[in-house]
Amino acid sequence: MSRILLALATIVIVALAGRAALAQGVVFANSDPLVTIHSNFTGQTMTLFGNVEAGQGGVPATGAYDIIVLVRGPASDRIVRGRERQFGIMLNTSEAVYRRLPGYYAVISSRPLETILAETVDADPQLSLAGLVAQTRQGGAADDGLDAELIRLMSEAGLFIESGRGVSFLSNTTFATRLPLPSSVPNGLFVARAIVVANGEIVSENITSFTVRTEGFERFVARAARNNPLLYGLATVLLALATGWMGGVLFKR
Amino acid sequence: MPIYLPIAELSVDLFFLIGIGAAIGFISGLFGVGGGFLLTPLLLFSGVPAPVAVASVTGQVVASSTSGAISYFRRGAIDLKLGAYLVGGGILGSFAGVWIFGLLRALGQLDLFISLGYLIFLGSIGSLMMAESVRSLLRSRKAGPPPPRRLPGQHSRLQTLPLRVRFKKSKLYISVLPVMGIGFAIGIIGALLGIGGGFILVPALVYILRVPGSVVIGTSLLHLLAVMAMTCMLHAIQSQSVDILLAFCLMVGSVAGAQFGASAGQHLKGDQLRALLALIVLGVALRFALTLFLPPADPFSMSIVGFGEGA
Repeated sequence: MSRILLALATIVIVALAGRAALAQGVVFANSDPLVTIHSNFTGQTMTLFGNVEAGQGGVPATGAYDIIVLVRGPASDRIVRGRERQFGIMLNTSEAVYRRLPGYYAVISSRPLETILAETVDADPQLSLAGLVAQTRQGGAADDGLDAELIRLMSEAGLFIESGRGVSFLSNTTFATRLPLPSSVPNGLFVARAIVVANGEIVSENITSFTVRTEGFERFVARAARNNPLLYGLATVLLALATGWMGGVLFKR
Repeated sequence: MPIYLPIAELSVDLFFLIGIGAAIGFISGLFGVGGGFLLTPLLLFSGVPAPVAVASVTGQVVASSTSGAISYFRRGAIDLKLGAYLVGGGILGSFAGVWIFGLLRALGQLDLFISLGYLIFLGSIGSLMMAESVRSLLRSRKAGPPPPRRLPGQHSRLQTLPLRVRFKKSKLYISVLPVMGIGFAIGIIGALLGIGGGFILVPALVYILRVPGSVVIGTSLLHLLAVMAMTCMLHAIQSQSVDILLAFCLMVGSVAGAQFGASAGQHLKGDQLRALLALIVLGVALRFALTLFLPPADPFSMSIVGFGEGA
């Protein structure tokens, strides 16, 4: 048993060391490690920024590189349904289930991906919304157009973002990007990844994370609904009765 | 002014919520219906996820029917005994309805069944009520005496059933079986279609049980209050999708609206009231007909699985 643990620990340490070596070439951070949602929350724009340590980890010191920022929000299962007219009435004719699809996903780069990445790298499903969606689809990829509809619906809700010109360079080595979070942003942990690309290859990367969560009264309500559903339901009904009664008293005529 | 809803996880304009709450509350107080069948689509339109909208509206219906019921109670326009029997049947019915709901979902095309159910149900009830109230409106315009309220055939058939109970307020001496039967049927329909069923209960009380118009609406509101309070609890426990903040914003508007509705109802004649209710019922039926036969603006929809709704 202890030998297995030791082996596991070694693997973890080696993996961490490898990650650190890779991460050396870029520093990445964000403006709001905790995005709190108050009663007047209508969405927020946050800034992700970083600095490339040029000359390290294969990054050319000349500044001839590009940045890709990937942001992944908490996942949930989603279902897309298509309706069609059959026998004169509208029926649900097609549907697709997406398992553990991020409730928020952004692919933002300093230049369009196809111009900065070699073809082999560009095939990574994490690097495009289409790839991500196809990957999470249950029962494998299918060519029925539902993937595209999911991307369209998510993009309209502001939950999927794909931008080929969203990362700007403030100097030769410093970059920043603005990330709009809509009011319907899912609550939970977000992980952002900055990828440094030079000559079509990924040469360095680093991550930063932030949390979106409700605060104060909203947090209390959300937790009560999940942890004490019976009391919560009772409270709702009592509140309804009290409000109804108050209305009856106030508007007595 | 936007307000963030912690369970729905998005923000909606506060005045929009209070406004639609007030409008629905007015209708609720006027006709003794819950108004959930009108409110839920409005919430869906503003982006609230369907399970949250359906569950939170139950809380709002409790508030608006409490407000209306108190106002009717003060005028002595509620038959508490009749209401108790209806609620008894209704609670049994809603358990049966939840069971049938699961059965239909397993068979697939639940959506279609719900839309067709709404259409057939509302269409037939609405047109029957419309025809009847127009006829009685025309008759009263000709200044004749009001027609006899009791159809002899139906009345005697109800009287032959056992377990007869005297309902003093309603001036009825009838068997409890049809009373609980109506409660049971509406409980099933309510659970299946996700509605309180007030707009079915009101005509059922008027035409089947021949309950006098003065106590129909108050009693219907009492029934709604009890059944929806239970449904709200079930939603809170089962799907945890009741948004108390959303429900509260709707309540504030609707209790005010319900008071005005209830007092406006006093100035309308019974047959006028029934004609208006018939119009609303037909309007909702038309809406379902449109969703059944016309392609929607966006044929594709997306929802989160496991949030109050099974896969």
